[in-house]
Amino acid sequence: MNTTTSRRNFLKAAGLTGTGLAFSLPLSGCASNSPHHSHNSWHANAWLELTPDNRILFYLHRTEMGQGTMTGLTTLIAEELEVEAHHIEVKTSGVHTDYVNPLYGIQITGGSSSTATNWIPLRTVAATAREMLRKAAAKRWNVKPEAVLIRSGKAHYQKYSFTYGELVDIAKDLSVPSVTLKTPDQFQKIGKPSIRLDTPMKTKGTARFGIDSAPKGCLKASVVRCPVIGGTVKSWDANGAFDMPGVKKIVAIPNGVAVIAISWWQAKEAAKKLTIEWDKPKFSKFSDASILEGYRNALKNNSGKTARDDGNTDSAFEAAQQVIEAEYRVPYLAHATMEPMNCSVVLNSDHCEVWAPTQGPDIAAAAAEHASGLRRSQITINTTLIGGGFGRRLNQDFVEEAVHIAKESGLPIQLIWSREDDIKNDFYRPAAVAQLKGSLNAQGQVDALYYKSASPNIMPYTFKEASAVVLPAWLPDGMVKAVGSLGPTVYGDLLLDETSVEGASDSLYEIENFAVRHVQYDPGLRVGFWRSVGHSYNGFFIESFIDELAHASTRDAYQFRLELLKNNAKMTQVLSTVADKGHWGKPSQGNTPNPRFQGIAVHHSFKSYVALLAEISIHNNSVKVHKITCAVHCGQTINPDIVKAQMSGGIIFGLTQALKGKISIKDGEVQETNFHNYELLRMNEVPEIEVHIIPSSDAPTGVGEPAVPVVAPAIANAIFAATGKRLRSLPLTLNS
Amino acid sequence: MITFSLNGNDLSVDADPAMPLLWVIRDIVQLQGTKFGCGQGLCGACTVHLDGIAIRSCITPVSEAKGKQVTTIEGLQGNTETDEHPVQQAWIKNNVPQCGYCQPGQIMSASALLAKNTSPTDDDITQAMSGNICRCGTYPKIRQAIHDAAKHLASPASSNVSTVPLTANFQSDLSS
Ligand code: FES
Ligand code: FES
Repeated sequence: MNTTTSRRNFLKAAGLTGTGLAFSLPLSGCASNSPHHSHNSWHANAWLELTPDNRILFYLHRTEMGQGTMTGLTTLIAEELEVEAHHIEVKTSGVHTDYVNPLYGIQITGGSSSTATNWIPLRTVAATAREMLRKAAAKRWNVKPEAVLIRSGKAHYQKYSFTYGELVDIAKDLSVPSVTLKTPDQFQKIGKPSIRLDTPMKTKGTARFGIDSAPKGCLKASVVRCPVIGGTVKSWDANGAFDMPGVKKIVAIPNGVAVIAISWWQAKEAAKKLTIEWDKPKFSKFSDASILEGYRNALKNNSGKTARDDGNTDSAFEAAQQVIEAEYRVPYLAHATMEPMNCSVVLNSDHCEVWAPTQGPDIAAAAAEHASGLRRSQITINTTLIGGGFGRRLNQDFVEEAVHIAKESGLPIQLIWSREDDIKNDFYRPAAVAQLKGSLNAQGQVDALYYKSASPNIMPYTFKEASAVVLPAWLPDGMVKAVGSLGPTVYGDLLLDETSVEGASDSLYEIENFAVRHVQYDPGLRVGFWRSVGHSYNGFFIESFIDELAHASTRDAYQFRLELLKNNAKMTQVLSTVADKGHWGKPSQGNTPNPRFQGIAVHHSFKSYVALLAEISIHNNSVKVHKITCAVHCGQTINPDIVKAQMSGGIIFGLTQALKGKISIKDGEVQETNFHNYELLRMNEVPEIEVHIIPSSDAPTGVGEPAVPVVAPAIANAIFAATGKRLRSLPLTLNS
Repeated sequence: MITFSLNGNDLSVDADPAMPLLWVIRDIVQLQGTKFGCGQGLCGACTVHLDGIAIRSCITPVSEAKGKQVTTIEGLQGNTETDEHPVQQAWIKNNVPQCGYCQPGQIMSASALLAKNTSPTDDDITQAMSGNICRCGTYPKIRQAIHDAAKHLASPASSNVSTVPLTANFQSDLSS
């Protein structure tokens, strides 16, 4: 059979050509096209395998890190294949070009994109398999396909039925038909809450995370690194560490010294004995104050790059009735996933097998290739469950380290980072400083908004790791050619990094004169993607400043926003939902003597629309958050319970950012070490949280990240309502 | 040799008495349901029961377990696949876990609480659970599940917590 033709037909039938989702779907029945092979089975495509003994295997190509993608994506298959989701066996897919994320061109789980980018493709592959099963059954019964009913995992005709397994042999030789996907009114599983597939294993302690995935016989490794990230080993002395119990080997790797022992505790104890002299990087000259000064100078001395330039802000400011200016700031932040970075490696002369809790298995493969000196075809990456990602595991430094250790020692090893290693060696959420300027006309309406920020760009760091996978296809549209072979400096000097200005440059506020500029300033602390990325601070900047403008115009902060968004139905809907459900203007009394105050914020990110109303009180100069009311417009939900959990989790993540998060630097060294000085929200600080999902049958949009950006501004706005103090830097503290 | 009981089985381990119980359980006995989060008693990921009391195994030397009963997440449920502890049943019914990494510790803290207080107030729950961090932010569901489990413990018959979960037969290579 001509596979090329059938693939093209299939893509056409599925409506995938010309939609921007240009990726290959090898959908013939020919097993040679599938990355997985097993005798007798029908590999309908890269995702689905049906066996003669009636098993249905789904090769999950995204990483489950708590966001629910295992359940969500399996539900898409289950819906169109007419089986129960928990009857589908979920296997990890491994690395293959078929599994590339069409938004990024690499196989990453990130950008709140898994549901949105699989919504059509996965339903299509399942519907295609279903129709082929129908045709196979029709053949067996010698009836028309329309006469066959596919229901509950079987093909039915009159009183007869076949299991899917019984049809595998015939189905796999059929040509690929065009299919029609179910319409929302036909959904039986999509949109309904169900038990998450991973709930039982995560409740019984049988879920295997990276840290639990070392193959038998692996020794444990702990690394001592330079206190300033980027430093290298000048010289080292084992100081008797070799003689400590359990120690097998001590080896130097490019960024530190690794102790290998039977137990990780033994490795860690022995590592305390080492003395190491370091070659420190330039960043060791920087501390908090000098970093802030650097940002301010950058803003003063550079015009930066234009991300948006609507109307003419300069002349608008000249003509304005009232002009307001403010400086806003956020610090660097660590991800602090509950599972610290770890990676297991078994390496020999012609093969390198890796077990890694990674959000980017193909970047991990590139890192392993680089560190081992082997070819890509000699690398196997096993992706595990992840104990929290939030963007941290898009960087593969821990994989590279582990492969170096295996190579230097010649031993099978599992590298585990301590919490201190983890907090001090992150790819941090960038610190940022922004200048905002706005003007009001005689009617108190916003005439102009000017935003200019300074921050390090993330792209140079990502580029360094990811470009090895597939240069340059993963880059955002239009930049591909410009980047060419120029390397990491490109994003620093030539191009705007959209992630630095997202949430400002694409703000949905209708303001006639609206300019956004960005100055790249990087003192040298490495940075990465942190849940909601640029939105995590631009949401705070924009939504706090809009509140300042509302107050300057003496208008109600909610009405003021409504007016600026009046042509955007979805923004209006989420805003009015929180105002209504959260009783805007009528804060509850509570049972404490301190009065309560409200703050509101709205933001658009990852194609979703989110509004949030926070209710707080002030006790002894500290902020207590009592209640959060949130509304989200995210299109069709696959599993509303997971959507609510993601929103609620994002709100709690946002609360930690708003009230606690701060990485401080002294002489280039991150000062925070563990949860006593890098605090995360605990149960005693969690407010009542209410999440309202706007019903919709539009295509699904992101839910993992969009709750984060609205939290800090809503609380800052409530603090202003309570105290008259405008807090313009995070974390929000009243004593500063 | 240090002898203690682990999930009902007597066990002798040849370990440094100062070695934390967590690493004895994970690296020597190779039971991996108990997690490492901070190593400093700050996050609760490593919570196990020592004679029924919730303790942080990352800062408890194995010598302290001598002659005592240690229970981990693996030992919480009964002998059959579907014989989950009422706390686990409530966890499943409420879909509590996100990434799931903190959950064994959360469940061990919750089950120790319910063993001594079968009808905890919100304040009791906050008190008992604030040593367990969840970066994914599953706290509201944890609170609800503890209330549900308490209700079930108070009157097992009238509560539907014990329904066998639909996904009991679900298979994946991500589980052991
Ligand atoms: S690992 Fe023991 S309390 Fe964190
Ligand atoms: S479920 Fe992820 S840390 Fe609690």
